[in-house]
Amino acid sequence: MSGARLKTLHKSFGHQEILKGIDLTIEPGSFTVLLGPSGCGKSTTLRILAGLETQTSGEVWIGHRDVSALEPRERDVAMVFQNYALYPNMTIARNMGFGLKARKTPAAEIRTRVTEAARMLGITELLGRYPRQLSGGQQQRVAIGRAIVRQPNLFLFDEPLSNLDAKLRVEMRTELLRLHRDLAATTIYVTHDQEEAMTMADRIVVMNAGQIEQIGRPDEIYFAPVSLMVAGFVGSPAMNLIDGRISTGAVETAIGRLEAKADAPAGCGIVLGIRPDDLFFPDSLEAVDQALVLDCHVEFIELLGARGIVTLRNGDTRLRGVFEERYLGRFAEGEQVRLALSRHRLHVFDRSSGRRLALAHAAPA
Amino acid sequence: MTGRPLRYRASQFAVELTVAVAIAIVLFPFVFILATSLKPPHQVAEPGVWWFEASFANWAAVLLHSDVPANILNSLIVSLATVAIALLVGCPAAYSFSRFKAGGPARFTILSASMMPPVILILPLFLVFYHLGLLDTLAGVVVAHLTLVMPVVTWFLIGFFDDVPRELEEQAMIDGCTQFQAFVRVILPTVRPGLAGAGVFGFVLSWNDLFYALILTGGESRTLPVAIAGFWTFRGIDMGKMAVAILLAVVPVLIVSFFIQKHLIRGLGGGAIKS
Repeated sequence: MSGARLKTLHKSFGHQEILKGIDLTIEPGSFTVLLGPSGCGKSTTLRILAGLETQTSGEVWIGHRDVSALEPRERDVAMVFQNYALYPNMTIARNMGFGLKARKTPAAEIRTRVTEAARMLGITELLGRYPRQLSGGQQQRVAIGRAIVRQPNLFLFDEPLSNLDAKLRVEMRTELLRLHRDLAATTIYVTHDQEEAMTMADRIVVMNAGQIEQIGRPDEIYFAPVSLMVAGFVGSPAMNLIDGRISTGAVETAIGRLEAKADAPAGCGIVLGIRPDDLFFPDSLEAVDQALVLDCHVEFIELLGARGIVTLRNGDTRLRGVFEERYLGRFAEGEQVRLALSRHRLHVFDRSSGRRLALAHAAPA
Repeated sequence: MTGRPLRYRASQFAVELTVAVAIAIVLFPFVFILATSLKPPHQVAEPGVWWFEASFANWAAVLLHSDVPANILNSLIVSLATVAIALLVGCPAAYSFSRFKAGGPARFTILSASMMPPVILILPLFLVFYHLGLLDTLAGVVVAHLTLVMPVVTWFLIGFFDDVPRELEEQAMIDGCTQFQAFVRVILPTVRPGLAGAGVFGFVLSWNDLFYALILTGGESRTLPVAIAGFWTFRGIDMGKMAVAILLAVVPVLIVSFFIQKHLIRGLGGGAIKS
């Protein structure tokens, strides 16, 4: 089992710079998710790791080897593509064994390893069939099985669940996590689906416009986004973002004045971020923790089952809140409601740079 | 209530009738030629006669006492060699055009030979072959046919390679293949229907060519179409024997097309259907 390392990786297609200096260390045995909007360079990064694209400059290390100039076949990685890329002219067994055969593994060993991987994935009865005879979910399992039999240094996944329906996607997510736990293989997984990233990753690498925005555990990314981009991208429904500015000893926003000191000069434009699950009823929050009390007009309530999304308006500012079912009874469309913000759950960003600003609350009166 | 099935039956009948008429139109020349080939010599020149005592005299004359079997062999050699070379060269060319978007203008330039009227090409070809000693040789005909067949085969295959997901060869390369191995072991088997379609298409083009073969061959290396034309002499047209030769020319094409019709239809569809 190996880790991997990307050193100042740059990639340009013509005049367009896709990767602008990626530095990333991937620990052996970790499950790292590259997350970001389309076009952010996450797939290109993965493809450079696999050797399918050549970096314009920078180095790629897998384990203790500099593989920057090596062909894909010499890197000992396995990859699962979004469209599975099963060989249509080969049976499932041959598909799974192809990589071993290409590496001149003895036939008996190929058979043992394919059988073992098929057993792990519950696809033993499919081994004699052809890819076209399989459902999308089964094809996905085969693609994963083909990666497993190789016992590679790195597992690379390029949006492998995007083509599956919602239910199957959740099932496969669990399956992949189980496999990762059993095999303890270093895995790098590309997705634009933040839910997938949050549930699967040991570590998330959020990318934007060819750069790394933030690297951290899922909870770090969620609770302490380092930039507006990360704050807005991660979380569903998205974080409420409200414009404001720094005044002396306080942060002025459209929804009120926060008695807190932000790490920026007075007059500086800021954006206040509030997660939809960080809106509370005043009686469920200690007075000492309340940073601001808001009187809101309830516009809509969308029930999601055990939770609901409530769209609220405070002055001209629209906010979305997520509440558990037991609190939903307190909302009525068209009525007023009083809510509070927790001082520990506020995010303030510099409007021009997008970077997070540290916030020091004034001592409660 | 009964109107609907009745209307359905009527439209069904109209469809069947149209198909029957189309089949009759297509088959009529074959039936006519078959009849001609079986007519006794004194009735051959009477196209209106449909009732006659069948005779195999023409068949025996053509198959046993003429050069036609040798011409068939020539045609087979020329067509198979042409198709083999066209596929061998056209396939990697089509793959390169498709994958690497290589040689932009070359992509169209290779078509120029097939776009030009053969009359323009034949004079330079004749002169070159004369100096190379390739006149009246099968190799010469093969080269001439390649100017016709290779561009068509290449273009035919580009669409098929376009349809193969790039991830397939990338997967093969990650699995341990070089790019060339990925091409041979994964991509080529995937475009098999295209290869079959292109092969048949090229074979028919070469097999049916009269123009190049007529001018470039004269004696030993005559191909079947030239031999067929040869039954039209100064003394008249030997219709009976010509009919036999025509049937012999058509039958192999029909047989080959029948066995790979599924592939051929997909091929002519330009790879519209993904495998």
